[in-house]
Amino acid sequence: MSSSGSSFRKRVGTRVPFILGTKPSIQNAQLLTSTGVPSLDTFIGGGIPIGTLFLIEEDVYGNFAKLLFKYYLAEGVISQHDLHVVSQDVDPVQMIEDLPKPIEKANLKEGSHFGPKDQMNIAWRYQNLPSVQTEPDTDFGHHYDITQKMDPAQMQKVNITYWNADEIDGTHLNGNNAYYEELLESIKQRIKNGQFYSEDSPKKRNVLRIGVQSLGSLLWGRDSTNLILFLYKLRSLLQSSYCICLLTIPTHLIKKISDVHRCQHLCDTAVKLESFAGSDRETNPIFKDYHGLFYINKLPAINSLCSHVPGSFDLAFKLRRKRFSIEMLHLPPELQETTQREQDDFGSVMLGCSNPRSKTLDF
Amino acid sequence: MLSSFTSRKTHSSLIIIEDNADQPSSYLFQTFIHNASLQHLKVHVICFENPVEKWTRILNSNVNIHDCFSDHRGWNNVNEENDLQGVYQEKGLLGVVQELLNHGDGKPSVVCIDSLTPVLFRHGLNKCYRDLHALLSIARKDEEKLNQLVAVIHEDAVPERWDTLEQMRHLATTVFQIQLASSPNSSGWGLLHVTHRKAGGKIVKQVEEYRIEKDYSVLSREKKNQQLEASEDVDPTVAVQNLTTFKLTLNPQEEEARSQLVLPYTRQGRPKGQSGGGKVFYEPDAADDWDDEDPDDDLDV
Repeated sequence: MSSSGSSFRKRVGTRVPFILGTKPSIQNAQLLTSTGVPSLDTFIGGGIPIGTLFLIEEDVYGNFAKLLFKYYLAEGVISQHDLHVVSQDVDPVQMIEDLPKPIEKANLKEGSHFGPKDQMNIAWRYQNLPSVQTEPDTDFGHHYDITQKMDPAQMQKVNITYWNADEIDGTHLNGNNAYYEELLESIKQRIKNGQFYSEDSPKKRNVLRIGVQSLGSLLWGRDSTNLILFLYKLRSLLQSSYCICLLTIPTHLIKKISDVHRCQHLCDTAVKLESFAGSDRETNPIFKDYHGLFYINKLPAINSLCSHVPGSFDLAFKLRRKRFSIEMLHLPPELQETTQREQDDFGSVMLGCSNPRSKTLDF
Repeated sequence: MLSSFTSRKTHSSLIIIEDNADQPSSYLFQTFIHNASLQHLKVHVICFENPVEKWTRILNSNVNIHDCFSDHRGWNNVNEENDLQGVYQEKGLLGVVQELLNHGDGKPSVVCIDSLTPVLFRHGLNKCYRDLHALLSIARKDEEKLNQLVAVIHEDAVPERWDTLEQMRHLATTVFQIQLASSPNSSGWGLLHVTHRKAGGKIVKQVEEYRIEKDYSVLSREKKNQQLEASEDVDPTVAVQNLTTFKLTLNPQEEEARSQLVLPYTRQGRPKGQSGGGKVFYEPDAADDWDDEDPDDDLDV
C-alpha cells in the first residue's frame, strides 16, 4: 500500500472542519469521535462516525450499559461537545452529576514488549512482536476513573440539556406514541437551536452528543412498532447533521426477536453486552478474567461498500477501576480436570490403563 | 439470606414475592409486615385482593390496613372525602400510595401491597409499571419518606405472563420466587429462589430453604445442589516429579549442555566452501552408482 513510487498525494483537511474531540478516519474521510472507551474505538474502526446512530443492547441487569453511557457522556464533556441527555429510567441530571473523572495521560503505563532477559532461542521470530494487548492510541479518547466524580467546573463549560417525560401524558394519540413524538421533536429543536445541521454555518462548529438511556423499556410504552419508526426518523435526522446518538435498549425485554433485529438493522453500529453477573458463567473458570462478553452485531459502512472489520468477533470486556477494556477473548490453558467434564462417581480418577489404586503414572 | 431481609438488616427498596396457587406466600407476607411493625416505621397494607378483615384479625394494631378491594371502582361511595378507592379508580396505584404518604407523620413508611394482580388487570401493565417505577424512584431518593415497598404477584394469575413477570423482575430490587419443595424430607421447610441487586451493582442469587415459626421468626439455610460440587482438583502441592518414575528435571550440567546445543536452521555462519550463486555441491557416498557416461550417447537422432 505504499505510495512512495507514485506522485499520488492524499488530499487532507481541506473541507473537514476541525472540531475538538474528533479526528478524520484513516480509511475514508469520515469524521470520527470517541465513544469514551479507547478499546471499543479500535474495534469499531477508530470511533463513532459523526451523523450516525450507535446502539448498545443492554446486559440483563443494566449495570455495564449504564457505565458505557456514562463514559460516552464524560467523553462529550471533556471534548466540550454539546450534550442532550434523555432517560426515563434514571434521572438524567443525577446521571450527569455521577460522571467519572478522566485520568491524566501521563499516568498510564505503556504496553511492554518482551524484555531482553526473555531471549528466545527457539521461538526467536516472536522476539520483536509486542505482547498480546497493545495499548490503543490514547491521543484520541480518554480513560476514566469510576471511583471519582468529574469536576463540576468542567461540566459548567459544556452546554447540557435534558429531556424527561414528566409533563407528557402517555396516552396514545392516533396510534402514535406520545413519548417518541415528543422526544423527536425536542431533538429536532435542539439541533435547530444549536445550528448543528450540515447546511448551517455557525461561527464555531461543534458536535451534539445525544444519549438516550434505556429506550424501549416499558416506561416508553410497550410498542415496538413505534420504537422502530422512531429509530428510522431519528437516523434520518442525524444523517444530515453534526450529531451522534448513543442508545441503550434493554433488548432482553423485547419478546419478538424480529423487532430486535429490526432495531439493529436501523442503527448504524450495534453492539451487545452480556454480563456474567448472576449467571452460572460467573463461576466458570474459563471466564474468570472477564466480566462479560461483548458482541458486535453491526458496523457502519458509510459512503463505502464495506465496513471496518475488526481482528476478531470473539470479544470480552473487563472492568477495572481505572479502565474499561474490551479485548479478544482468550481462553485460559486447560491445565487440570475442571468441573465441566463428567467426573466419575467412583471417587478416583482413571487415566487410561493406569493402576487405579496408586497415584503414580506408570507406563 | 431471607432472614436478613425479614429482620431488615439488608435493605431493599422494592421486594417482589412471586407465588402461585400451590405455594401461597401469605405467611411470608405477614412476616414482612409484622417485622416492619415492630420497628419505628409506619406500615401500610393496601388490600387489593383480600378483604380487610383477613388482615385485621392477624396483624398488630399499629398496622394501617387500607381497603381497595370492596369497592375498587368507587361505585358505592359517591362523596369525595377520604375515598381511597376513588383515588385508586382515577389515579391508580401511584395515587393511592401518594395519598398515604401525604398523611404520614414523619416516620418512614413501608407499603405492603396485598397483590398486584388486580392492579395489573384493572390498569394494565404499562400503568402499573410506571407507577411502581415512580414509587421506586421516590423510595431511592428519599428513604425517610418511603422506606420500602413489598408486593406480592401471583405468577400463575397475571395477564401476559411471559412479559409481565420479566418486566417486574427487571424493576425489582429483590425477587423471592416461592417454589415447590421437591425433596420428600423437607418436612416443613419451604423452598425459594432469591435474586437480589446489591447497591454496588452486584447480583446475588441463591436457592434457600426457609421455615417461619409461629412468632414470625424466620430460619433460612442455603440449599446446596449436590451435583454441582466441584470435583477434587489436582493438589497443587504435589510435585509433578513424584508422580512418575521418569526423571523430569535437569541437573546443572545437563542445563548447560542444553544451552550449548546448536539449533538447526538458525544462522550459525556460512559452512565451509564459500561461494556465491546456486552452485550445487554433490558428494556421492558409498552406495551411489556414479556413471560418467552420458546416457543420451546411444541415441540415433
